[in-house]
Amino acid sequence: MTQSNSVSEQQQAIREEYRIQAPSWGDYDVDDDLRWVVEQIPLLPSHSVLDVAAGTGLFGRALAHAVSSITAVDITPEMIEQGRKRAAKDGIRNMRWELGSAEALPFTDESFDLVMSRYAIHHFADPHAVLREMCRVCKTGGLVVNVDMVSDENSAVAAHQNAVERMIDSTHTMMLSPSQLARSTTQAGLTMRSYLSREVRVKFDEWQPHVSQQSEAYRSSRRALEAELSGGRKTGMQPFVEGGELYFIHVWGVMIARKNERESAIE
Amino acid sequence: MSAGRDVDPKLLELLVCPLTKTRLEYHRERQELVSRAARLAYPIRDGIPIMLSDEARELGEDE
Repeated sequence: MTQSNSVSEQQQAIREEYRIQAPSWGDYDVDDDLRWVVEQIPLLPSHSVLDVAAGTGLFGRALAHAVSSITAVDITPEMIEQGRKRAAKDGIRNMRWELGSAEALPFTDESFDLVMSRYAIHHFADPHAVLREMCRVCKTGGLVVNVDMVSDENSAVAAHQNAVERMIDSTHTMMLSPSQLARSTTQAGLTMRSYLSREVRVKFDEWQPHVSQQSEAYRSSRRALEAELSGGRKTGMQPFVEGGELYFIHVWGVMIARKNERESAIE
Repeated sequence: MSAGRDVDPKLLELLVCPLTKTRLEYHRERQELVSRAARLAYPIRDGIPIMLSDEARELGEDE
């Protein structure tokens, strides 16, 4: 199989966006939603962990206390720099960092006990390729965990939902629906262990704080949610108004899968 | 420029060339990871390996 390791157009877009956003991401704390995710993963003190498309390594930092080591890989140098600083500030000493692409992970096969990714699939040009890579570098018997926003199961609603996400975030490619995520996980050679979901309320004005309220990105995405409230096209985002403020729901899917012996690897 | 922090030795054990998935040679003085198979040298900056072919140096004839 030939594999390109050059930085794609999508990766360039991600790097540019997250170069700008990096300083604010370094300030993010582990919140209740992330703590809940961590509680779902059967961690062992002996685990060596790979955090894929780690950004500032927030996911890794959230469980660093419970495992042996974490390797964080990301495509944006500024995000790694912020994460490294924050980890040092928080006294985390078992994390290593490197710059690389999730589509072509620079690790030998069967390297890690747990390979995980959070808030990343919806940024990938080819999420299936990333899942295959995550499976490859995971040890047989190890776990692959993917956490991301998921779309509606209805493909027409999902298409609109992804379009609304792209209006406000140009680096958004596609969220998968829970069943697409499950299928892709199985096709990558993994066995599903559990799938959990959690509805996270998002206040519209706090969704993408770096996007100006005067911008077309802000206005068009807001219009799409308000249209649904007036009986228009479904966005899959369940918009509602509370205390005069517009809210919507991001559904987070937590997919925990195990890498079994080879028999299930090829579809 | 100083070489900065040294790269984590455990990370070096796991790393392979992202193109060929073959082992890398660590050149400490140059702070590079060399892939003979891909004829590329991946830089290490401030202790962070840069594992992208775009940012790698092509090996010369005599290397």
